[in-house]
Amino acid sequence: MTPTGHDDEFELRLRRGERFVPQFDADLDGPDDAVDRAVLARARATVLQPPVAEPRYHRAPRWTLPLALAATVLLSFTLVMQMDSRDVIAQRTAERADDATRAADAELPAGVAEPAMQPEAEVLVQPPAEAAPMASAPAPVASTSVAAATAGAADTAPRAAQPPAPAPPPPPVASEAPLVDAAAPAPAPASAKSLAAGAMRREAMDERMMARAADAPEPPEAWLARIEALRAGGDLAAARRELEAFRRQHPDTELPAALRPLLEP
Amino acid sequence: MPDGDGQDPDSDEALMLAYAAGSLPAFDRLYARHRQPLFRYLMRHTRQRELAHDLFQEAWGKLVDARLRYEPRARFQTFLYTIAHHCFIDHCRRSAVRPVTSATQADGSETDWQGAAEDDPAHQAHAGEIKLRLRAALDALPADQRDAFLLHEEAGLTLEEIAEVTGVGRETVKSRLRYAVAKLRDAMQTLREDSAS
Repeated sequence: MTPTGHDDEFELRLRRGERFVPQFDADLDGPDDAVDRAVLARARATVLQPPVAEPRYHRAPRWTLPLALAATVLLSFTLVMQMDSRDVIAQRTAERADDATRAADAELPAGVAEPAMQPEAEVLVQPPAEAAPMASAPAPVASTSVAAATAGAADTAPRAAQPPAPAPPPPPVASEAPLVDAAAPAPAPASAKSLAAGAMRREAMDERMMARAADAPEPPEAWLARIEALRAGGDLAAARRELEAFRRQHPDTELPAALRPLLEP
Repeated sequence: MPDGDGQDPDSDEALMLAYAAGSLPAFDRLYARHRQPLFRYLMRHTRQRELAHDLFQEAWGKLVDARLRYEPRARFQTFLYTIAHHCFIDHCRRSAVRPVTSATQADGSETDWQGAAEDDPAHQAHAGEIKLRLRAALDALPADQRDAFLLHEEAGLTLEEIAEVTGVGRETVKSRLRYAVAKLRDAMQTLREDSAS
């Protein structure tokens, strides 16, 4: 060993890049020949073998990740808010319809509240021009919207009970706004009434469809079979009633011999 | 002799780049140049020839695999010994051998490597008294001091390069190296005194 007697010699050797223990060079043998061959063989094999094509994955640029996340969050938030707003609108609409129904019922006298439903249902099948004479408003009012016409029809009953009011003087200038005002003096109640009228109209339509289904013509054979069943069951009065109705409905149909005695006095 | 780019075609860095481009003779020259210092570095750390062989092959294998990513931003020795250093550290972690640091070594004289075996008897038989003392003194060094000493003596790295390999500051490397040299010097001084008496 070449000892470093003090720090200056240490610094000097460091600056020169000299070794402190030259004896170490010959101290140990190198690696075994087998290890040399193994290392060189691996180096050759790695270079000579064709490069393995790594699977290429499509990778989007890094900046798209936060953008995609933000877009997803925004879209989700928008959908949720839209669903909430739809629920709120539907709830408010239902509340308004209920309020309008209650308000309309409150305006009607108790005795005429039930008949008021009938003209409302008839509005569906009658052209607006036919609804106009029912209202006390002048004819031009009937040419307004269906909602206004139905709203006016809701007011028909009480007005019909009262003596006809004098016709309002014609407006000086023909315009749509005064006509609407004549049909519905207050815009907000008219809207509520139209909503209520719409709800009642839907109910009337449902009832009518159910009635049509109930009044569907029964096949003659089935009707006769039912009458025969009544007769066989001993309910002769009902069988006779049904048979007379059958005769009125189907006068040309030949009756079974077993049922003919029912028509005899 | 430097080429048109100002780089010596026979330099380690040029040879490594040539090997990365597919030149096998370049790797042969590179390997012949560094095989013995690198093996000694690992052998002095592990004190087991078989283990040194394993780490030696592992280090060269990693260098071969990383040939396409090599960039001559520093000396080739820094690249090679960084790989070897990490191989040795990984081995210590795998085998649960904990190197004794300078702080823990200050209060005792235990060997640094608790799992290290005794020297090969064949080598002891052929080694002189000085080499035995040197080896014993080197084994007694704390791991970080011995690492700094070996990287300087065997690999010929500068303080800055050792700092890059070991991941510490230059002054820390210098301090470790100073302590290591002082302890080896004391060991040799004791040997001289024993011989004189």
